[in-house]
Amino acid sequence: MEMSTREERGFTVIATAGRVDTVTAPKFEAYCVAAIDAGARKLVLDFSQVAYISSAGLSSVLGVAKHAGHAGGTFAISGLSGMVREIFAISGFDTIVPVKADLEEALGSV
Amino acid sequence: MGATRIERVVPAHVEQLAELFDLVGAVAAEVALPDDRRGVVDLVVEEAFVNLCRHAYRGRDDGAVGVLITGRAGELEVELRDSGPEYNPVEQAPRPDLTLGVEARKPGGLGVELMRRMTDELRYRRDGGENVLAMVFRWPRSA
Repeated sequence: MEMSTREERGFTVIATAGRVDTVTAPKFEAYCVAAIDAGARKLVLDFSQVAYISSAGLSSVLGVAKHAGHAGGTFAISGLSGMVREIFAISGFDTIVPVKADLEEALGSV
Repeated sequence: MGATRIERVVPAHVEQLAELFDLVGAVAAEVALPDDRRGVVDLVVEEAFVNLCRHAYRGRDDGAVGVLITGRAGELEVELRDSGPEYNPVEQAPRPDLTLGVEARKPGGLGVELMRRMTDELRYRRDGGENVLAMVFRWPRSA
């Protein structure tokens, strides 16, 4: 799993690539939480390069969403595809966190 | 295409997941599991294996998991075997409420539910003092 952060149009975009599983999910969550604690208030998680997520990854996404909310920030996730989109749908996560089709939509609406 | 089969015993440590994914991948390639099903198979195997590491062998560092992966045309089966306390996740695991919002959701509880929903068959049996969980995936065979 690789992660990177950039600022774009006033948003903090955290791009993740690879697999968010039991082993990598804690690193994913810690990375995002650190960004929020460092002041990110308009957060977009770019998942367009995430090929795999398990329940551990979903729990981490939930943790990030809660942390962003408690910090008074906004949060969206974009670019879900393949099994990641399927798992978000089956778990109901696509109704409890704001899911945007792509980065363009996320940057226009958070 | 004949049947293919891999059998191993792996330590019950989550760090073994990559090895487990490799074993599944080897059989999946042999039986031509469709690419778009591969992630789901890994997901179910991960949920089952991590549950064993965390619960069947809670507080122990010496647990082992027997892994048996069998494939044939149109079907892949992964069987995990542990010697922890008797536990049937198919019937005993609580079913999470998938309609709750962000604040009401608790971490965990989701893994077994995903296993139920993403397998074509999920079977548990108690066998010689061991828990045996079989996860079966099927797909249309090509001609």
